[in-house]
Amino acid sequence: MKTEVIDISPTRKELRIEIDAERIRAELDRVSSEFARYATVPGFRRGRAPQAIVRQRFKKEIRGEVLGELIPRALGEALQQQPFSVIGEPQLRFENAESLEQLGAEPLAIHAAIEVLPEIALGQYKGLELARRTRPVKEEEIDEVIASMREASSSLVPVEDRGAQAGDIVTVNFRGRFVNEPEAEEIKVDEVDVQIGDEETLPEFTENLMGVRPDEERTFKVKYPENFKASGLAGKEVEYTAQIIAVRRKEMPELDDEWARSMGEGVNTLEELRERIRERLASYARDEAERRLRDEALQRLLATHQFEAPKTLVQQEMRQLFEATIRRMIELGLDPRNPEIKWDEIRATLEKQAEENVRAELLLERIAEAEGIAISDEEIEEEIKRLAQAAGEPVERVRAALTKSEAQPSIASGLRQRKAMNLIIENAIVRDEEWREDGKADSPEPPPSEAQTADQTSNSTTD
Amino acid sequence: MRTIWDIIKAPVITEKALVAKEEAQGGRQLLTFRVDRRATKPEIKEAVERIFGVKVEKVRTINCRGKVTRRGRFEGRRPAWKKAYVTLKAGEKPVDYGEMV
Repeated sequence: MKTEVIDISPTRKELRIEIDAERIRAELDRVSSEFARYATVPGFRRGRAPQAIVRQRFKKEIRGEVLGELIPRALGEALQQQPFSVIGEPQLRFENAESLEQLGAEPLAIHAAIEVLPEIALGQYKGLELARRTRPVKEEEIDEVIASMREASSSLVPVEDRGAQAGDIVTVNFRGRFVNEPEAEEIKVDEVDVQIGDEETLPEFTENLMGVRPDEERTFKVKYPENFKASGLAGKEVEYTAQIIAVRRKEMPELDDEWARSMGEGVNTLEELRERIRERLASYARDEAERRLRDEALQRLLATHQFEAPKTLVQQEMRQLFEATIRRMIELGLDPRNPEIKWDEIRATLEKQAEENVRAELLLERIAEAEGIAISDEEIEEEIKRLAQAAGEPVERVRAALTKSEAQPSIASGLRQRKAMNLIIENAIVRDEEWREDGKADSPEPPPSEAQTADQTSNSTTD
Repeated sequence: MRTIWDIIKAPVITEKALVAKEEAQGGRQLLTFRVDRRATKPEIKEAVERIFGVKVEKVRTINCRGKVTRRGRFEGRRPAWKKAYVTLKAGEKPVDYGEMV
């Protein structure tokens, strides 16, 4: 057997494998005698037909068998001799398809197009000069957090001395009748909480319930917009009779030490609460800075290490990104079938992203290899525990799921890459620098479309 | 025009015929053919000699009646044919029916 390697690109090779005629003939004989033992040929008892006749009669079958046996074997041997690691399935073709007619007369040459991992010549990856920019925590942000905490711990207090005002919550029994459809059944909903003056409340409700007191009754018409969330009501006009049950207002807790104490274990004063929030925000900012630092290091390395990402892997990665994007769109309430979504653009962005990811993975793997980073079974176990915790599922379940999908290698490689990244950072010269306000987005968001803004006129009064 | 190919139609390749060919007595091969029903022994002799380039010792023929076949209700008969046993002279080279193309 002879093998030649034809370089097409760093990630694409073509192997020319020549199988000796000798070997083909031997295989041919073996297969023919195998066939002759069982073949049924008219004029002969089963298995008694001479090989020559069997060979002629079952030419195609025998050929298929011989090739099916020889080619994978030859391919396996050829690939074993080569230094590179192959990705995906080889694409095979015969050099000379006509030579198949006289199988065994001459050597058979097959071409196998394969994709291989590129060889990465490692450049400098230690001693990178990097800047860590941590976003400072602003006082206003703390104020915001405190405001939302206050909001969350607010309580509803009945209003007795005045009518309903904006910001109040009015509890109402509604009876509704479709104005243009007298036949339709009447709407009957009890004890609905309407927040007066809220953005999510339709203006008709706010206007007509303004100033009401308990036990009052009001009648008014509401015209629902065409794109209303509940499609049964969209575009319809309804006349409501509203029986007011209660008017309540939100009462915010006083901003004092006592409230602060109720907000957290070990917090005694408002100042301590602020401190604690500051701490938490700062730790988020640190994490963020760390992520950016790593991202920058990776970008730097990718720029200095030029190599091609194998197409198969890029496509695989892209498929995953694509699925993730669609999932995210659905979570956001976007319909992926919306014709206004510019798939071409998304695809282009994802492709770039996918290529970058693949290159990053390969590079980190290469560095891990160069540094002799190995992952032990215990570390994998540890990671599984961590994943289980993150997903909030029992460790056994996660482990079973992972073993089933044979994800062990991918966990190991993920860990290996993380370790490689840590090593890069440890060996880098990191300076802390001032924060600059030029935050770039980490992941490509789907471009906003009409569908995203359509649902914002939702209403809490009806179902 | 009737040619030698119209006389010799095909070799009979069955276990029996092949055994007879291999185990010919006195070193003489016995070939077996389907031949035209109207062919005579001398014609068959001539044809075999020309096709395979061998000397023929003798020719024996037999008329085989077609077998009765049946498709459901309908009875029929396969065509009748003539079989020829051709004995070659002693010492002739072994004949390969593959030469008959």
